Amino acid sequence: MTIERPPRLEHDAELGAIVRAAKNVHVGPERLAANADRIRASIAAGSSFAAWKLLLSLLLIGGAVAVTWSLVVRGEEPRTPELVVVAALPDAGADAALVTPDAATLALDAAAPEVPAAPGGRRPRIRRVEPAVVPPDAGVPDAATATSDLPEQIRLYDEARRSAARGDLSPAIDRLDELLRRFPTTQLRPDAELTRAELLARANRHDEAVTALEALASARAHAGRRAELLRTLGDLHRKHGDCARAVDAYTRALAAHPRERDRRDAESGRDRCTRR
Amino acid sequence: MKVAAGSGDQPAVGSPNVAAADVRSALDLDAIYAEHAPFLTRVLIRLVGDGSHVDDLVQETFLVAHRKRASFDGSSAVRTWLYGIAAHLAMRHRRGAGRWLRALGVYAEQPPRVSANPADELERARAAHLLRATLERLPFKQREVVVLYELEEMEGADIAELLGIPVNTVWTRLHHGRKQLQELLRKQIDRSAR
Repeated sequence: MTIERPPRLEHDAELGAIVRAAKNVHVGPERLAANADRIRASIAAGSSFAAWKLLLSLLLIGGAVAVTWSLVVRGEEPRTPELVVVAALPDAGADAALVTPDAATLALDAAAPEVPAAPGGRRPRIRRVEPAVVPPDAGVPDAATATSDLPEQIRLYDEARRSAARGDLSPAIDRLDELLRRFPTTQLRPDAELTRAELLARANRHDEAVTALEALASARAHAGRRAELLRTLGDLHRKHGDCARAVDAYTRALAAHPRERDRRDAESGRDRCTRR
Repeated sequence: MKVAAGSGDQPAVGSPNVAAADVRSALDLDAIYAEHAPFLTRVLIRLVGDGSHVDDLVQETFLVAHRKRASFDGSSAVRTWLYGIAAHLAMRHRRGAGRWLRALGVYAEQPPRVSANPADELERARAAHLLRATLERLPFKQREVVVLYELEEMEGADIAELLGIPVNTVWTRLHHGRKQLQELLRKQIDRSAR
């Protein structure tokens, strides 16, 4: 049995006009060309990445062998770095010091050679510093869990989503805050930041939502969504009755090369504000 | 963007009848992109809403195609193969980050007031926005059939080939998808009229 081909909705007396209005989707040649360029670049990068992976693997293996050898020869356990080099600045007071950023990884011990003097200044000092105080909930993994903290990150993210789905917005935001605080380099960060902004808006925490969106719109990680974020920020201001800031956000969105939908929404929002 | 060395006399990559080896040798990604990217981009916009995520999905589709070119045996048309990849990515995307940003947009921009007969350009834009937002509430499999039939104006047999399903399944999904779409749209119009 074959079902008959139904008439298309665009001919429907009631809803046809709406369907016809949605038919027009224009994909510009610039957009297609830009995507083609990115595909080519990714393919090219993929080839060189394979070579990099090989080189990196060799370096890692070499490094591991060297570390193991040095431990065997010295018969010592690896130590946590606990010393930093404080180098005297040539033209600064006695208390002014520059903590060299990579010195903390040197793990100097008492028998370490003397650090040479900074040019034209006092001799640098080596001083012992106390390890940073880590709060008990700071999520620093212990030896048993050091292999991966991804499950914990996912747990926090899932808890946030479940809370949000139940309508418990504040606990959901708290979970995301905890995720971002404990795992600042998590790969879930972009998603978590967007979700957090959404939940702040839904929870009517207007000022915090605005701050979050402003931060996201200026973040490199969200550069591709800048126009969309600014348009959303404009919407948020407009809903809050702040047309001046809404127009400003819409204008910035329009200057950020928005996609068709965001351009249209930003223009429409700006028009509504200016009509008021 | 050549996937494999193609000959000057290339077979039609859209034809499912080309021998597998010939098809693989004809997988010039530039040509495939030029032929299919506009369609895929348009359909993805309709399926998941426009934004930079659509560009990400288009790029990922062709990168996956490039990686998996060895497994393409020509038993289906190139468009079917590419669409399968794109639809899979689009479905996965719906479960991922993209929906949060759209959710944020939905929050900030409540469904617009819309009439059943949009007269001016602004109203048409609102109507289009409403239809896209409503489409996003349909299950993916129904949504893609509605999009391909109602907006892309493809025939049932072509949709069936593209999705790799029987024609009757196309009509069944279309029936349920349209029913739900009509109900949702009517509700929205009634709300606007009040």
